[in-house]
Amino acid sequence: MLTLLPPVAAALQEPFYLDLVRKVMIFAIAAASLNLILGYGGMVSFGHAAYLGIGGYAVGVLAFYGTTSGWVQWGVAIGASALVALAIGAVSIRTSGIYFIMITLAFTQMLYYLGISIEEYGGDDGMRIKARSDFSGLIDLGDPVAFYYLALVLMLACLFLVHRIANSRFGMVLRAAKSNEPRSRGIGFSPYAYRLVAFVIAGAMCGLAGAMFANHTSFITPEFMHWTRSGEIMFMVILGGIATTAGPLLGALVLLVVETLLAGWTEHWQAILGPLLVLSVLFFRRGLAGLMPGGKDG
Amino acid sequence: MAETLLVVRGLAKSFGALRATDGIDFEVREGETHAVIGPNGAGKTTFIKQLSGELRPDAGQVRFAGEDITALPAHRRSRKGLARSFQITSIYRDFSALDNVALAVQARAGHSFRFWRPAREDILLTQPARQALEKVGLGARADVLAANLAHGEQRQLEIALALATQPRLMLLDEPVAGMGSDESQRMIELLASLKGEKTVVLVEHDMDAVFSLADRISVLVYGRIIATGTPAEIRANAEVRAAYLGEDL
Repeated sequence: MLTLLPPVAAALQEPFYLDLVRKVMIFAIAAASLNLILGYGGMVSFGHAAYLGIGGYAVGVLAFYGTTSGWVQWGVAIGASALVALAIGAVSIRTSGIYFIMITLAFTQMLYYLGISIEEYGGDDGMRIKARSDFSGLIDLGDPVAFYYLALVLMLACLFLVHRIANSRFGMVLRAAKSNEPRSRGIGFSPYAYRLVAFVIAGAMCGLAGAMFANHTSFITPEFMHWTRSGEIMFMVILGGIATTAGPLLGALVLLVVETLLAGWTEHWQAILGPLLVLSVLFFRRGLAGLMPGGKDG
Repeated sequence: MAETLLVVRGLAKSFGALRATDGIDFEVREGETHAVIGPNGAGKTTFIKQLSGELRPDAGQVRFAGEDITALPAHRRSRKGLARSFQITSIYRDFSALDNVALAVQARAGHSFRFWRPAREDILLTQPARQALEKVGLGARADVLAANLAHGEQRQLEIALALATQPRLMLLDEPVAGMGSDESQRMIELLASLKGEKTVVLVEHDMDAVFSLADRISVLVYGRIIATGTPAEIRANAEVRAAYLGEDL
């Protein structure tokens, strides 16, 4: 269905839809990465937007210094996100429950204020990115349709990757530690290293989403890392259905479309979205994926 | 005489002024079923937690297969072959019975940093897991969610989990607790079928289970072992009778 959108949108002369769905797919990648640690790993990270920001700033800052190669920009985005996730994870994963939520939030707030404080890159005004990432002429991100298909392919790859990881031996250990940690220790697993590796994979994947998002908006701002953004990604995961393969896509789709519809209707859209979110959590406990036939996969 | 597998010397643990274990000396021989009994509050759970590594003793030493394991945490002891079942059923409730046991097999199969192949299709995991389920009589219940198993079945599943890690020593903390008489009879038969194959430390209140299964019995009272011997010796021991306040052993 998603593959057919570009020709349809072109026929209807509504490029806006292309833009919206591209954003949905980018956020589906971010949500899929969070789903790995939150849904399967039970790690309620309330700072996942940090990697969106790091990925975005990697593209923006490199472009600022004249490096427009997408290979370098996106590579740095992924690598830097993985490194930061390693550092944050190494500290946070020693805690659990509310402390884990708070410490991941705190780290992300640090990065947010770091973004605000660096005037060179626009401070809290953000910074325009003059040119999109350049993939040696292979894909032209300036072409909305090409960028759309790239986002589609990468999103499907990420959803599939998370699905494979979640069902691998590694994934089973991760899920077991969420289900019953003392039991895991009892049969000989120490969850720490497995959780940390999952945390790093999730950070790297969300860094990719950040690099894409910066190209999507052609703009970077500390708002990428704002805690409400972390909450938004988390909500996509929960709305779509935690620990499901398609949940992150469904959650991102519904949240962003509803957001856009309400925003077009009234400027007080957040006052309507909030209660809607509460109701959906109350009534779709297993998320949107739970409503679909075969959507309740492991 | 069989080789001694587990040697405990002077094991002590206090919680404030309470000496939960107060200098325990204890030995388990390879192949035997060694029961630990004692009145409520005697320190049995504290003792078994120090054997499994969940609690660090204040003093004393635990040697397993000739190696000092006093400082090892629970997951490392498990890897050395010390499996534990919990007093309160501890299983992965949201996993199927087969997935539960497959995970225990996986714990034995080296590191689990394997990210791609689906674990559920891995015959190296599922086959030994099915065998362990057969062994405990849950062969037909492999695909049932653990939470939906009957209480007795969950206890059997826990034994399967322990078995699947191929332990040299199984620490069973009240495996018969809270069971109906049919269920407990089945559990006793299951444990009897392990005799000779596995070395077992059995902490249990159910005296029928203890006296029908144990090769030797140690009696724990106020954090000390007051007697160790065959079931017949323990039955005849005056000190033990006094500790149980004349209850029929």
